[in-house]
Amino acid sequence: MDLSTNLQMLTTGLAMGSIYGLVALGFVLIFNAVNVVNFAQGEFVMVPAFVAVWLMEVFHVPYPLLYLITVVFMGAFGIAFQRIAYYPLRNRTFLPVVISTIGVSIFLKNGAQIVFGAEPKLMQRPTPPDALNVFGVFIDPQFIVIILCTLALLVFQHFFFEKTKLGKMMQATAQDKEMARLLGIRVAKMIAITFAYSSILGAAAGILVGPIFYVAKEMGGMLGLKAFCSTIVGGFGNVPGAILGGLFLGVVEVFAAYYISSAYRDGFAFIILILVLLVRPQGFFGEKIAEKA
Amino acid sequence: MNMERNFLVALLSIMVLAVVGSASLADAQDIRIGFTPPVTGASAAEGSFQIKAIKLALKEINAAGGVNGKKIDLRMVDNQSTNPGALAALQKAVEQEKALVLVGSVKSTQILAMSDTIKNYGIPTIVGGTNVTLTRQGNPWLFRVRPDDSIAALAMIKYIKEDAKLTKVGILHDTDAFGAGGADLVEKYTKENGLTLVKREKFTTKDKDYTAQLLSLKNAGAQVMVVYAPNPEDAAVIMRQYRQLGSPYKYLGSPSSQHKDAINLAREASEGLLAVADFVPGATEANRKYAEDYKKEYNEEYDGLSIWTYDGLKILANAIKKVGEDRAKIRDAILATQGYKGGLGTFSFSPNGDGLHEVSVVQIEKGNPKLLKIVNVGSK
Repeated sequence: MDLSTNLQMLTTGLAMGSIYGLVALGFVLIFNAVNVVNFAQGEFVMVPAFVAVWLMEVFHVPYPLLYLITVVFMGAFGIAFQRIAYYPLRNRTFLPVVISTIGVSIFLKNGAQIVFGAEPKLMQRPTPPDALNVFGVFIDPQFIVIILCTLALLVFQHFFFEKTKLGKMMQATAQDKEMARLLGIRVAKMIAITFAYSSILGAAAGILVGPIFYVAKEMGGMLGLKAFCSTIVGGFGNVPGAILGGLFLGVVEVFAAYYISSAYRDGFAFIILILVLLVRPQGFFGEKIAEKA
Repeated sequence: MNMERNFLVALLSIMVLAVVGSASLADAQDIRIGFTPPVTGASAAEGSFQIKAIKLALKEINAAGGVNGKKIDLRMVDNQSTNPGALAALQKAVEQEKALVLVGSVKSTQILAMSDTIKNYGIPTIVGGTNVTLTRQGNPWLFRVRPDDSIAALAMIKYIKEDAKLTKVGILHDTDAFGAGGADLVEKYTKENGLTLVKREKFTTKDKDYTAQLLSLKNAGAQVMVVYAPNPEDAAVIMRQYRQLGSPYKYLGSPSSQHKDAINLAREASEGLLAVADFVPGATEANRKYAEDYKKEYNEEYDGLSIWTYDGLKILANAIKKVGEDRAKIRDAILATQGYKGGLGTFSFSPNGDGLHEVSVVQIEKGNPKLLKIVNVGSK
């Protein structure tokens, strides 16, 4: 019960939580735009991580350029994904699209194994490997980078959606497609951009967590599920809610693993998910369904 | 269905004809040894290495004049990487190929499937599976030529007690069968050897954050952490976070911690850490010779998981050399094998049929496992 242990766990929990939150953001954007849960969101993290490692190993691309190429690639990837997995099913109900995203997720995992091999890969760290010792609390410098990037992306996103015309058009599309179409907004294009942006968020997550998680075809699986839990806990469709939900899950997991049972560490996220669904189905920050209608 | 059946019948007939054909060509004076590797199916890649390893032994034995003036005729039957396939291969090797003795499988589950039939035939069978129970079920015909899973656990505790001279042990393990089974053994031997188990922490395969577990062991006062992780990738993440928390105790890992994947991923974080290994490449004379001969024969590096077929065939040949072609006598001769130096280590069979009672404790140095000590746990 000493202070330094608890501080250490809080720090790690927040770091893990901001990773969940980052991936959760991608979920929320797509959900808001097209009312579909994208179960390939975890693979949106895995694919750019592999691309980055490949660029690094084969072409020795230096770090800033590497980010740029990966981000551009993932933007295109998001649009292609949208075209293949969502667009043909856009007039169908929720379920066929969800199943289609699960299909793409399986395809991407196995594709990654065929293209990049079964062994996990090491992504070079942009930060020093030694932990920083801050008053007895050890912090991986990469975690600090992750937290800062998540914050920066949040701020960017806020300004983008509230202050720019494109952002407002995307918001309008998300709120009411018919209305947006009547106002002359090209809805299909807005949706494609949303997928591209969500995929770019995945690229950010992939490049950021690659050096600490290692890059393997399964790296996105559990991450995607935890991020999904984060969005539910935070309130589905709510952007700050997704981040806060992620931070909450990250912290609870570490403390529960320490004080209750390390064997059921992964279980706690899902226990919380079930509890939230039972007690407060709209999540901590979600609007009531009635208000949304 | 019918088509499929006809096809199967045709295929089987061809196989039988091929077997009969080749059988008639073989010299009746040869000693037939059966071998059931996976040629097809999920383990086909492993199977190809096993075949290379055993053929090297075969070539060496026959080049040296064979056994008591007779050549060894190795009869290979595909076990199809499945349990029913392994059983069928065993039956075929004994009934059609008339094998005198057998080199079986490396998969514990296949060996369990074959075990009763092996007992009924009364045929000495060399196996490579490491599940502890295999040689503890009263089957006197199974001979294991790899260290079983319990030996690693016992060797870790012996090393902690006698060499590192530490008393407070913490365990971090995967909750799967291998991790939990290994941790159970570590816990048992910790207590039996008068050491203190301070805490047992768990994780799930592919977890990415071990802070809670590592801190918990630290606060429980562990002097050494035994890590039972089947997956080298997980071991790599554990190593790095252990380092980042300031290496608060010693690290002693199961073989995955010295696997090349773990070292490649953890890089400098793995430096100086301890792990156990079945054997260390190049640590013994016999192992160096095996590596050289293998390279000469196939022009590639050997596969560590397949040496057992090489050692196994040699042990069988030596036994037959001593007592002739009588299965019961061969069994006694295998059990009487003591101090035989093979590629995997020094074999001394215990009455229940276990040949290897040693594992190596290694320290990772500049990205390679370096032998610290071969720990012999004796026969139990």
